[in-house]
Amino acid sequence: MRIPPRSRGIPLGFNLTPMIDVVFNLIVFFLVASHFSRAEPTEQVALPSASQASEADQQPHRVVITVLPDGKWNVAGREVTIEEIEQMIVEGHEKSPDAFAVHIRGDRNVPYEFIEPLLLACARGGVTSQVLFHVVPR
Amino acid sequence: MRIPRSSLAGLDRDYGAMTPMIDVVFNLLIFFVIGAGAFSAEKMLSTKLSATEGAAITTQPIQEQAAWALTVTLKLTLDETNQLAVDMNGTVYNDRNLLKDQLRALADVGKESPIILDIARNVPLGDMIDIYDTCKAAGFESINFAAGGNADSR
Repeated sequence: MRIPPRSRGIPLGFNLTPMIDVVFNLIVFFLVASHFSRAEPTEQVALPSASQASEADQQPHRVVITVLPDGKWNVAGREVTIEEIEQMIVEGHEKSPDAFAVHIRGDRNVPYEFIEPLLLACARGGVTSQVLFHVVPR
Repeated sequence: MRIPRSSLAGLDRDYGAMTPMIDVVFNLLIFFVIGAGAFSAEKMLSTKLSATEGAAITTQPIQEQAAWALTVTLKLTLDETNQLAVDMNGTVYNDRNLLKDQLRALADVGKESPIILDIARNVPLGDMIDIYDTCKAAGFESINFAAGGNADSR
């Protein structure tokens, strides 16, 4: 009696699932890596609100000054003095006269006496058109 | 002769095929969670300054002001109750909404009128941004910051 051969063959088709898996892992990795490479250490401050805020171009040449509620100035997570800030502004403006921006992230309760020196430093350093306050949209 | 069916036939189904699907689903979940978190809630309020030696920070030279334009000086101070009081050309406003209405009315008359913000040292940044934002929303073209210790803090 002839016994019909049982087909126990393993499918030879190409399994796409692991490839999709690896591709998504790569996408997530590069997404996270690029996000953290662009992000600067930012301290938590309660930003003021404004209705005329807009998305600004993230220019590569910029300095982000965080003004803490106690009036201290931080740049890249490090406390700095006004003289250092003035130096940064002057150097940044010399490198990119048209594309250098100064971002001010100030707590909404910080007194103006800690903001005015920054505006003066910007004006003296020649940065006049790219001074941006970080706000939350109203 | 009857060949009995293998009792293992029912076990040929590969329940392990669920694992890659669950894996991909979790990857999608992580992808969208991280992608959503990349959007920042912060926006920018731009200001324009002009080069100064420290006397005043202006957005445009005063000599460009039209002859009929009225210079509006807003002195921001805190009153005894630590509330913002705004002196606009001699008239003190404690009600911010009334001040905003007045500014909008002035802007309707002439957006070319320069605004000078003379801010006391103890005024919080949030109040300063609020008034600056109001002037910008009203459409004023020239909003200046006075510097050099003109404002007195109470």
